[in-house]
Amino acid sequence: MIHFTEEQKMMQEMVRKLVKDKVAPRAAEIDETDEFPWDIAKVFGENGLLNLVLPEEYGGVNANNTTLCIVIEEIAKVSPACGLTVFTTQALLNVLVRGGNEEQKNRFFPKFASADKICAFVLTEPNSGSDAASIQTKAILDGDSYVFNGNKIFISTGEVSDFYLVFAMTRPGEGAKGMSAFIVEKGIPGFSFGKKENKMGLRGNPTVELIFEDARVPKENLLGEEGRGWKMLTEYGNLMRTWGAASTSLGIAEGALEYATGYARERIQFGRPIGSFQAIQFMLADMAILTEAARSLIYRASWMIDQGTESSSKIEPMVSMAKCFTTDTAMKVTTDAVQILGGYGYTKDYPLERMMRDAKGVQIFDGTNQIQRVIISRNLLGKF
Amino acid sequence: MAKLFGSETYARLSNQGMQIMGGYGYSLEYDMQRHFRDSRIITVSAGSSQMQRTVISRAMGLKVV
Repeated sequence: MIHFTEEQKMMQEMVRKLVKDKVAPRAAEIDETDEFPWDIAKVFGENGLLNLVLPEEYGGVNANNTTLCIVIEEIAKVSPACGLTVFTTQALLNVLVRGGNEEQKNRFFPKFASADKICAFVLTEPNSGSDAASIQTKAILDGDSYVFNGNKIFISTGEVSDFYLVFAMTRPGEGAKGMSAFIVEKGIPGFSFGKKENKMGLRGNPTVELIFEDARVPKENLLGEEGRGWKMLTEYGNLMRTWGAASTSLGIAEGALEYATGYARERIQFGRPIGSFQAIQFMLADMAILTEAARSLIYRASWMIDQGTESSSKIEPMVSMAKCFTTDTAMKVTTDAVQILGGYGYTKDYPLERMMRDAKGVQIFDGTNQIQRVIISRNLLGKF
Repeated sequence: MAKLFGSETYARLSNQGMQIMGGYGYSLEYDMQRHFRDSRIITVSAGSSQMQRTVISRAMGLKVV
């Protein structure tokens, strides 16, 4: 079922080596300091990981869904927080590639040719999380620009990003029909940053509040037409969960499983490796089963997306299953991995407590697992 | 992994299916009780779940004592 092209295998190998050399030695420090790793972002840029979905003339590789899954999975094995930089940047570019017009592509793509730009995906508000159609940030057309007013919170890769994909209401009060999507550049008057969250995990990727006070965004930065925002969110945004939260947590689970397996081989108790005890063997076997099942689910969903022939009603629940199952798997695998390392697993001298904290975050972001179950059951039962 | 995961999923789902159907699930008039009974042996036959875990952990390089 999982078939990678030669290019994808090369990409996987390249990223695997790159993160082992450049990211793994920094992962604990990035978590400890919670400072955005500009050095890593630079390395990602130099190796083409920030432009993946762009056409080749702009430094990209026209990455399809599966290629993005491969890249995020490999980065997340050592640092999910660093993977988020690639994720949110490709999230904006992906919507621009699919939903932008020719003028917008010609205007924005060259800005990314230098491969040092990072982006953020801006939807959540204080009163609109899972209920995304209830956002209140306004974007009202006035002359040549839209005037933005409102607050956004929990924005990953916030403040450090150069470009923001912002969902706002061009027709307030009309719910999904009144929502539109915009590209907003950092530095425009009236656009500022508020509170930075002090998070339990995924530290080093800033989660920041965005404040719009009469911020004027050129009307040419509207993606598609007014009122197309919800459609873009559901058509493009939902699919990103495969290479977003799902691949991130697959990487976390694989990283934890590999570490715990190595530890079980080396750690001697009662005169033999703890991996020789069936209690530990069965824990590791169960962790491996869940991880492999998660991998199958992600790449099957991704394959369906890349084929482009399946209906969205078939793809949508598959994506939700992949997100929900993989993040729950990462939570279980990391928790059990901490257990196998015992007291050491609970200390910051080992990476597993960090992986466990990171796993918890992915169960929540990119659509909570409760929302994923709503989507899955709605596809089984229809709407009541 | 496929044998273990598939059979244990069948066992869990048929158990939950019984619960969703309530008293009707327990009645021989409905198939759910048959699924519940059938699934119970599939986690034992053709290599029990425990044997599958032994095979998997051996493949992970852990010695079986």
